[in-house]
Amino acid sequence: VRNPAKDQVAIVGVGVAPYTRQPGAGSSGALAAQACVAAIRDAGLGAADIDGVCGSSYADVEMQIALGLPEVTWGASPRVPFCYQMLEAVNAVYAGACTTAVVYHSTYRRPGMRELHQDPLRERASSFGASSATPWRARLAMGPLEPGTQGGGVGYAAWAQRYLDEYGATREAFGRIAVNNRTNATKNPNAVMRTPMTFDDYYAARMIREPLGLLDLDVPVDAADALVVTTAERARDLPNRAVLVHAATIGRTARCREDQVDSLTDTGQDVVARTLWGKSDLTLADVDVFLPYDGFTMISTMWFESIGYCGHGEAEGFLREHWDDAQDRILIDGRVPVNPHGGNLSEGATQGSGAVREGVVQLRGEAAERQTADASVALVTPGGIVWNAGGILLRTAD
Amino acid sequence: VSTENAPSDDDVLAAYPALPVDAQSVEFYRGLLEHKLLLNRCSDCGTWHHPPRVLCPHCWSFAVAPTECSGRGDVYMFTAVHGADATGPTRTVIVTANLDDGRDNGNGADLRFTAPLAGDEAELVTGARVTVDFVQQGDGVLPAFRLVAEGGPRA
Repeated sequence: VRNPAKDQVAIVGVGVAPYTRQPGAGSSGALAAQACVAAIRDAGLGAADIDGVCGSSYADVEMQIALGLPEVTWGASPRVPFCYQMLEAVNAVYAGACTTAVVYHSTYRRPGMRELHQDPLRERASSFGASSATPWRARLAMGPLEPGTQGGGVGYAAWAQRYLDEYGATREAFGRIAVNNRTNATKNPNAVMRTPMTFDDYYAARMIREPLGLLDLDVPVDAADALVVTTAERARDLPNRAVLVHAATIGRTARCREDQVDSLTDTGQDVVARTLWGKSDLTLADVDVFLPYDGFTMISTMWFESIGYCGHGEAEGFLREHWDDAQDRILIDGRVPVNPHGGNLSEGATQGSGAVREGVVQLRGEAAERQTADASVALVTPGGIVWNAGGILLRTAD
Repeated sequence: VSTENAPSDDDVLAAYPALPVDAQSVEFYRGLLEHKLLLNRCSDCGTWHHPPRVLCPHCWSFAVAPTECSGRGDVYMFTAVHGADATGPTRTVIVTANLDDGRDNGNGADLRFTAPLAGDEAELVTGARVTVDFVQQGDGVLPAFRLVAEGGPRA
């Protein structure tokens, strides 16, 4: 598989707007800008050094204006999950559309959530764009819902049922993910869920979308992450240990709507696996940190299979075999942690940006209490099994 | 498929104020108001597809026609969504089934349709036989699956 951009683009800065479940975090744009400023400063750069802008939830043009970037030559506002933003930015830097880009994503909870219902600014932000002059368009603004289909989480829950039924698996295959991520989150000050969880807690949680319960679902937060990417050559003159993008891709199959995907063994994840390993000089044995997407536990379970740790339908046994009882978490072959920051389930739901940021922090050796020893390769697989699967291999420059 | 007295676009829009009726899906909703399940079928190669698109994903013919289908099929997967309304906690079973009409699709794709389950769920398992029924809701009519006691190809 062609990969001319291999190791040619580096991540040289990271920034976070602290994840929170409290109200009062400002706005989507404020969070994103806070993360961008932190990332650009972390890279040892200033406004005049940034000529590319790429992010979601707050349009790239608005971000340029907010940051006062004097000359921008490339910008994009791709969809989430965060594999799309990374792929666009890596390609733009490699192709010369820009030299140094700030890449960001923020999440800002909707006003319907219990603790936020009396926030008039949030109500207005949520309703903006929902009306239009023609009746057709007014209804289109409702979103991607289509008749006789499933959208979003409902579809994943049905696939979870299909998974258990087709493979004769039990919810242990999902519960391992939930407990692992919570154990890891106890060592991440940025995580919003840090109270340790037991398997009893997991099974006792109330059902939300059968067979998925409360602890199978990620945690909504107000939050943002940002990264600065530039050429590997430029990275050598900057202060941080550079992290190279070795390979990156998204993967989709023909019928990539939630309930229309052909089968559990032919999803976007399988396309990602074929393409990512085809582009890479590395193998699974080289991976030191694994960051599979966990918007729902079952998505992580399926990533273990599709990316190659075990065969389709074999994750329950694999996770049991690679469970470290003393640490109460997954350690693949006794050494590779999985979502050491706690993931979307326990750090907070940011559609993959948290996982990419954690991959960079681990490879820079700056993860403090949760640092993986001698980590030089991180595998990040943002996104689910439908239109949204992606994979990114990061490696250290030296 | 629709009759001369078929509901107009305005009728359809009025019947489904909260759903994203658009040019691609209006015939589907018009069919529901007449208690018909109209799914897109290619007039050239015969392949069914869903959700509705303007061309056949198999042969790229733009001659696709909303076509009445039997609504019978096998349960492929399902979930139950827990929520709440003014009366208290709610639990809605959602079924995705592979419909019999799409068995011979030229591209090998399932004709897969999703709707809530109406009636008894005691016999709900992967592979169970279902048929599409029509449920009045406000001014509109929505599809729902019902379990049926009969044999048939398995999902």
